[in-house]
Amino acid sequence: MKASAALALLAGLVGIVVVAAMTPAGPAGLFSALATVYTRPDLLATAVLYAGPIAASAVGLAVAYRAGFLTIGSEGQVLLGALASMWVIGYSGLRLPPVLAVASALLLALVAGLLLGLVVGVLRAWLGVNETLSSLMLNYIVLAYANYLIAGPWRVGAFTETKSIPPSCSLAWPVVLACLLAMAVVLEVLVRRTRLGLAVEALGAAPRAAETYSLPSRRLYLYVSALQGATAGVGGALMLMGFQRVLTAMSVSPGYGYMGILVAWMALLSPLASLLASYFFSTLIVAGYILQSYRVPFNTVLVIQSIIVLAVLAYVMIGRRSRRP
Amino acid sequence: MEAVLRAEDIHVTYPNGVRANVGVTLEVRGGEVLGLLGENGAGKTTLVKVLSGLLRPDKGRIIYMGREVVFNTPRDALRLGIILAPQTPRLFPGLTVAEDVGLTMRLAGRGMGLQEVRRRLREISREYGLGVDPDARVWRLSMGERQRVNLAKIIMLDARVALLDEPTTHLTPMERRSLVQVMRRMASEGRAVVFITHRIGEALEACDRIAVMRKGRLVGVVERGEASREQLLRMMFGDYTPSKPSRRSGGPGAGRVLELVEVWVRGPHGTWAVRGASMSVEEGCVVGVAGVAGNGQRELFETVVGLRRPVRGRVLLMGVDVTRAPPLARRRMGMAVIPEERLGWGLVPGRSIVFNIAFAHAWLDGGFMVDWQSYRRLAEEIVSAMKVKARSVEDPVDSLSGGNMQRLLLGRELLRGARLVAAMNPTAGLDARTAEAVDSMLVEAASRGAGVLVFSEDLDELMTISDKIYVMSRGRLHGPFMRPFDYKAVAAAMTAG
Amino acid sequence: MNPAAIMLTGLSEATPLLLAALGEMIVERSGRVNLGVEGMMAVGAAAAAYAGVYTGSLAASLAFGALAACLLALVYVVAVVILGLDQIVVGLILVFMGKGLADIIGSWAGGAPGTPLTPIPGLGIDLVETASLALPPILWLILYHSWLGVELRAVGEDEEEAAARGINVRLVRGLAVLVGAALAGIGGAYVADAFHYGRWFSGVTEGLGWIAIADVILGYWHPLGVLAACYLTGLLFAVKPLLPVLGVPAELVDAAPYLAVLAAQVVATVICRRLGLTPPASVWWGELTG
Repeated sequence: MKASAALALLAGLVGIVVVAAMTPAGPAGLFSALATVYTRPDLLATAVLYAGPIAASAVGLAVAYRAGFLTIGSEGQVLLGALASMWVIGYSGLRLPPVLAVASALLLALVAGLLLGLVVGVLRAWLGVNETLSSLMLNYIVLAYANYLIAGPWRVGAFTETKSIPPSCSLAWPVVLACLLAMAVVLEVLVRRTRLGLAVEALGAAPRAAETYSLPSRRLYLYVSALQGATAGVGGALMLMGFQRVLTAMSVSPGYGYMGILVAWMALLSPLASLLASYFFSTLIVAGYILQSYRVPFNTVLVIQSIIVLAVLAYVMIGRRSRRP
Repeated sequence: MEAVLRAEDIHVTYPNGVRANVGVTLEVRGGEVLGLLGENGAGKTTLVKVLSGLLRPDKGRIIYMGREVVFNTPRDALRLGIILAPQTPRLFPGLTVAEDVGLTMRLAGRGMGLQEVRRRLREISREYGLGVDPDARVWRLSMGERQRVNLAKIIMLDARVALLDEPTTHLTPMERRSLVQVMRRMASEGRAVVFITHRIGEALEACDRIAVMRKGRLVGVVERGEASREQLLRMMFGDYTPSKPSRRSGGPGAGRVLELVEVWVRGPHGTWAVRGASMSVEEGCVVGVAGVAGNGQRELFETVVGLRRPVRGRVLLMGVDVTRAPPLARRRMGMAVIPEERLGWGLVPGRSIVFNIAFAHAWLDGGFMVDWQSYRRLAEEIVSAMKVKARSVEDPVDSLSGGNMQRLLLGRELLRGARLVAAMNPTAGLDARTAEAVDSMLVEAASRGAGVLVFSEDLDELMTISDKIYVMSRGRLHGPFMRPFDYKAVAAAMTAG
Repeated sequence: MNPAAIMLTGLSEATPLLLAALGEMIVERSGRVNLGVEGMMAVGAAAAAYAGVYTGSLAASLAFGALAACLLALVYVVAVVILGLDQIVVGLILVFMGKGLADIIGSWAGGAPGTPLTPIPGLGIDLVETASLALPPILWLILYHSWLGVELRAVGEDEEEAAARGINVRLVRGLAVLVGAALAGIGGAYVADAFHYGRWFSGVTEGLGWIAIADVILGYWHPLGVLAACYLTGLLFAVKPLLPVLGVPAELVDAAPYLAVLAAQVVATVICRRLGLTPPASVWWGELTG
């Protein structure tokens, strides 16, 4: 069985090579782009910035998925968080000093994400509405709302775009890293050591047992959805202040929240491991930007990430099965 | 009579090391009802699974009509006319009876149109008095009716060998009697019928020969005339004789622990599962709810526990109205729950023993952080007090046997001093020794002052341990019947509308 | 626009949804959820555009759309049906994979117009629309009046018992997934060919796959119910252009179908709970109480 587990990884590698071969860059181009990323400190630092929204989404999703709460609302929450930050910095009319502006942008993004997450949680807990679909619909609703703000009330200049946030409000990579580490550590402790974490595990593994033996399932869904939304919301602030800076009209949403979903599963639902996996994904993104100059579609990165996650999950699954008597 | 089917030196060892069949050799003859008697875990089901192609033996041969055969899938056995009817009839809930039966016919290589299936089903139903409606949706049928669908299927497939695994489990006493008649009739047509049971009385009533199994081995085969109850008991249990737990005198105390007032509950398909049930459980008292599965017991149990809200009526715990209260509030008042499914409902699969102790206490104990150390100690206490066979409390619960899982569950639920114990089929699937231990623990909980509510399909068990018995039939509660119990009256209530 | 034109546009808008939703319904009736519809439609649209541009044949365009989606769905078949990985996770992975692959394949076509699908003269609807309207009654016949349909439903209701009775569960399920994928792929191809002159651009099928999945639930896993649900959502898309006239900002109008589907989903869930209905395919709602 060891061999067939390794086969899963090999199949993944073959898949990546095939996909790369479908693009103008080819496998060699892909690997050389990756090599470039991993040998240039400035690109490695940039990767931390891009990891911001992905990791922030993933750490919260990891907890939610542990509870069996299969939301995919992180995408909309990231976007809403970014909108909230943009409002604080650019449109609230508050002339805050930079540190305070950044802090309140983070806070408001957190609250915005939390509330949006809670909508999904409330629908699930009280009405039993399937969270995967409801959160997905909310993603598109937020996207439409973002486009409305960008094209309407927030529009400046000839193009459909918002103001740009001032350089004083940009986040350097150590700040992003600190934010992510703080969230991941808190959530890791929450999962492993706290009463809430224990309850979340039980709810995910056996919902019926959890409810029968005195765990407040409804309240737990609310907690988890709020927590998940909050971290993704922070991710939106990190996206805006880390690298995005200006919001433009978009036909599809940025996708960092969706990548968070892939990351959470790849990290086997551990918040701390999600951090590492996000960083890895983020280096792929940077490589993807390099490859764009070879006219490789950016979403090729998404395919490669998907293949990696699938291979890892298959590897773990086959390994687990072979350990059983 | 000649042998239709012969099992020779069958050996089966399960992956967890249990030796379910050890060198079993058994002959099944045409035109007879052969009883396969033994307690739970004796290897009866394993043997018929081998005979019907559901399980490949590690060693051994199967001879059909004098020729050795190898079954790779159940289909191979089905084609030869060897058909197994499992203990709990498993039909597809969303299909009609005719669709379900037709599916089996097709897979047996006797495909026919739906109209033909319906016509034949009606014929057989009339001829054998089975009362099967081909157009009924399966989910509407009671367990007894499903059992009869399975019999119809066996007849329709023209089975040479019918293997019936504990077919009486979910039947009322009335239905049992008519099942015996159907089995005798099938045998008189030249078919071989293998009737698995753990009840000696049933075996003596229905069978031409009785084969007894114990711990995976065939102990012996006795002819109808020669078999005595004592001899069979000795063969089933060896030198160990199960003694039913004795009821201490005393009986119902004063305080009412649980009271249901005119409770109406809906089932999974929107129909009424519980129709105006009223009952009470007193301190220091064991109350049994008898009845065949599928008559609303599950829904009533869930209502007591707090997983289902009644549409009408009230639930009182220690005199407090908890009708709309979740299980959490009820647990705070001292409710212990022993559910029907150990894994997935009673215990969390894939997690350690410690985790399974901790999750049920954590929310009641309060605090922000979990004190894993103290739960580990508690788990070790429970494991040693209940004699749970486990290597370490860090082992996943899945690695425990059914009996040990139930001991662990009982330990967790009873050792903290429960005031109401709600248990559903607590001894189902357990061997006689463990079943006895479980029953006496429940009785002991009552003698310490708890009110114990036990749902069970085993009327004999309930009559031994209960102070009073209600009977559930088609969503209604009949009774209470008080000690000393009138078996006939209780049995009659099971078939009441 | 007059009401008749809106009805006709609604039908056209409903067609890709209907194809994808009926496909997903087949998958869910076999006891699995494939959340990857969005990805399969995207790939279908891209492959259809590519094939259309390079062969100039409409039939080849639609066939390639179906084929590409099937190839993507093979990942699901291997991972979920054969290896037993979590169906939700793999479904989501399929979405991302499909979107990315669509961008790659679509870039080969270079945004050139391919093979437009036009209404049959005098009828007002095109070939695929006509075929997709015939599909629900055909599926109804198959599901409820053929042994193949009974087998499919049996697998969906209780896979263990189905296997015990000798049904090849993996085969039935694998075929269901592939048929579902083919339909989703044609749905995606239809979007490119009928709405955009066979031209592809990134995000051309955005969101449709998810709405199709919601329509399966709203149609209560029944071919005719799915038809109704899809047509109603199709109408929503058709009236979208009218909303700005009423003073709703054009960008917010994009949210209308999603809001409506979300609201419908909430109402449907509440109604099902009140009535105590268990879905025929017990894949979405576990036996949770509340």
